[in-house]
Amino acid sequence: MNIVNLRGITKKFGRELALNKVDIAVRNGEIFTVLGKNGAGKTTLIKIICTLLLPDAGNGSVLGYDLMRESEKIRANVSLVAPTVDVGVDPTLTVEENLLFWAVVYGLTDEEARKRVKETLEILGLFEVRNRWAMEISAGMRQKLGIGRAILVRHPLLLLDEPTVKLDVESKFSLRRFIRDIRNEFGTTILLTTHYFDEAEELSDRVMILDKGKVLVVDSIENLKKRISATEKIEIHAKTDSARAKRILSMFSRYGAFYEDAVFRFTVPLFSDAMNEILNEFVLEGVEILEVSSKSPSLEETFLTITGSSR
Amino acid sequence: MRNFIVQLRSIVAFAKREYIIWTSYKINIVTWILDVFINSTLFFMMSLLMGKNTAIFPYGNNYVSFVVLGLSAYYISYTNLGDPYDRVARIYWNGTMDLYLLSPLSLVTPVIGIMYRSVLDDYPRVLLAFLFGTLFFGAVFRFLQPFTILLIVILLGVSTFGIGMISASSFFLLNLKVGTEPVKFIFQDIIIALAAGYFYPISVLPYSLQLVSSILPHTYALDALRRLMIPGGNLNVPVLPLQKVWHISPVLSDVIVLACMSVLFIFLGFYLYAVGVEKARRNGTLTRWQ
Amino acid sequence: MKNVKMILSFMKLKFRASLLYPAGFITDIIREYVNVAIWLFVALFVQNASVSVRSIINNYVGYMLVGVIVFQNADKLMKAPFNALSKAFWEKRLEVYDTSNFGVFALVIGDFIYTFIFNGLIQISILLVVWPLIKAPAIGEWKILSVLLLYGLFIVSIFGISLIGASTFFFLEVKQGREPVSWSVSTLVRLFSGVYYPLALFPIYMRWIGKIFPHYYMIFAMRSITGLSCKVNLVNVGIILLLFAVVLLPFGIFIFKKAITFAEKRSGMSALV
Repeated sequence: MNIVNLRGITKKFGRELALNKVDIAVRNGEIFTVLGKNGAGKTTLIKIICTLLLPDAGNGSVLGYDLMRESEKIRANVSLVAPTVDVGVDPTLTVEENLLFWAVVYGLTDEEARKRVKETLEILGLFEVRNRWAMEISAGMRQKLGIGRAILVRHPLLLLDEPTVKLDVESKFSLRRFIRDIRNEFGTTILLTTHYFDEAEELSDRVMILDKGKVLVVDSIENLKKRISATEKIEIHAKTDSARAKRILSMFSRYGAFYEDAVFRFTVPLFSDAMNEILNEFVLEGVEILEVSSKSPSLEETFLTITGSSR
Repeated sequence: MRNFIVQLRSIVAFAKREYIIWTSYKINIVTWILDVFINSTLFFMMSLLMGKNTAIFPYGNNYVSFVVLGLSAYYISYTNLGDPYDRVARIYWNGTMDLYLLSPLSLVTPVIGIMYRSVLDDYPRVLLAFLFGTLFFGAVFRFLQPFTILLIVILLGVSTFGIGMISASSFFLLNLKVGTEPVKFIFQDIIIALAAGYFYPISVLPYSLQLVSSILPHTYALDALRRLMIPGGNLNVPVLPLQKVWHISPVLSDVIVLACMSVLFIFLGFYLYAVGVEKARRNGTLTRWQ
Repeated sequence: MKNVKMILSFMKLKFRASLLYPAGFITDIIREYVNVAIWLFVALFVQNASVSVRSIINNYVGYMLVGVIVFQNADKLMKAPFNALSKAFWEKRLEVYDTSNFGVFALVIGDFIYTFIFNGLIQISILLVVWPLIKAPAIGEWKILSVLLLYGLFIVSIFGISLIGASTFFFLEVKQGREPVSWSVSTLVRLFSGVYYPLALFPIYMRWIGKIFPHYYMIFAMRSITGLSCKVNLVNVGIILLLFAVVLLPFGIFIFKKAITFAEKRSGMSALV
């Protein structure tokens, strides 16, 4: 079953088309990532899904509720973590007091609130610092606190807008693990936006690539990479002089030939006719081949290729 | 019913939180007590200049009592009218607007909850004004018709809060996110400051300003409170433009007008705020996060 | 010359900032007019309600007008340097200004002068608009040169006080809102320096309190020059204001320099932690 099922979502701000007939379907229990550059429309899409923003066209459902007619019900069942650290974190309250405050706001009774806050602090790994002022803990911990606020009521859908931006490397990794744990433990469907390729690669079940308000592709990471296997690169480590290297480069320029630090790179698939042609030429030229290897495209290269081909 | 309880409990949670923040500004607490004392002293000195028992028709002859009631209305209005816009702005700029919208809270609950800090700042000043006035500066009060007095104070609070919500609605309706908010500025900083009669009876004003004061709830609240609470206050002689036209007891006419204003301003305030939020949802100006 | 240019740059910066929000510009002007109008209505009421007032002060409305205008102008100027520091601090510009030897000083001086000009023009306009309505001696009969000289000395002493107030930004870590020096001075001046009522209302043993502030002498002189109270020896008043200026200005500069040094040692210029 699809938790989020939207079709033809369009949104314009003035003359700028932020989203252009976007379809999105997020399955129950998956971690779905929306990947895109700054200005791609990721935040606009998330705002529409949680009904903080109305689309100009399109419709659908979130959690089975109609996007336009039942927006209050959607908002009551969705949790959000915005990109800025410290949003919703009150510096004058302790870590525990912050969560207790939000527990009441979310409608939990006193007993439920105390129990749920204790559980959440333990899950977050913040139980030891529960009596410290919120501003005394690190930014990574405060971002966890923000997510902890969001999971107090175990809503079925959790929206994370660039959750690890502004965090240091260690905090990023810790938070990513934590996000996976939330899904695994509670079965929460997570919709995440990011422009970090490694984050998308690490966390996602499926990725949607958004560029200039348009959906370019939606697929799993592996399938995405397979789609661009045609742009696989081979690397040939070789010993040669500059004159021969020049001749080889000009002969195979059509294969995107590149040479640097005794390494030739060609954009051809492994074991293809093109590769054979190149290797034959190396032999004829008397170039000493030291090693041949292939380089799978990273998600970043995949993204760049896909968005590049859309221009 | 459950939803109503959630709103109430949330307001209590906000109140507790705002109280913690308020108590952390200890110097402010001292200066605000002193402010009340100083304002009371200033007008006490002016009452000395006027001499004792100078008549302030139809509000008796005690200028300090007259001003204490004016100050009380000022403190209530300052919070109820002036605060909602600032609170909406605070919720917006610290990024919690979206979090509150994604919770069971109504649109207005966070605004009321966060206003609690100003309530802590300003409402007790009313009591302090009475205390300093009676203990040190010779203010004297009577409490004719105490339930009417209580009703008038409540209606003043409600009507000014309604104007405050109209002011707050401009944050989204007119997308006024920086600079001076016009409703608050025009009402609070110009019209009410000049024409509400906090420190002088409105009969001192040019007639055109007296007519303007007819649209203010403060005018009617202060007229009724001064007649009822200052010894020597006359309950029968009309002084406000509307009272002269409407041949009923001035106090009764004040209460009726206040009640109508309360209903009108509260309804208008909540309605415009909701419309503003919907408009902002369409325009994408509801939340700060981009 | 370089320092003068720096000061002028800060004045230009403040002017450009105010043009960015012209509504703020206009509301400031309106607020000043409204504040004065409120006090004038109070005075009108008091004057009409009581015969005894008219026997003490011939034209209480004019009396009040002079007091309020001088006080309001001085109050705004006293707070200007502190407000400038606070704004620059929270906008994370203060530490940048401190990279120049004269940067922070130029900021406060520039802000002070700009406020003096802007607020001064507003107060003068209020005076010109309201004066003809209050049946007081015509402005043409004033000794304008005396007014300018005395007011100049008064402003210098106010600048000294404002620097002392601004130094609390660093010494006491008061980063926004009300700072204690200008608040205390304003409060005592309002109560004891004859802004709204004559000192004769106080018992003799309390009348000295208002006289320790330059405001008292300036207001007194202005009322005399404008024909609203008995004549005073303006030379004596000038000497007293000069003494205030000579003491307060160097002291203010000294304290403020110390405060800057204090802040530099403790990283007190930066809002970033």
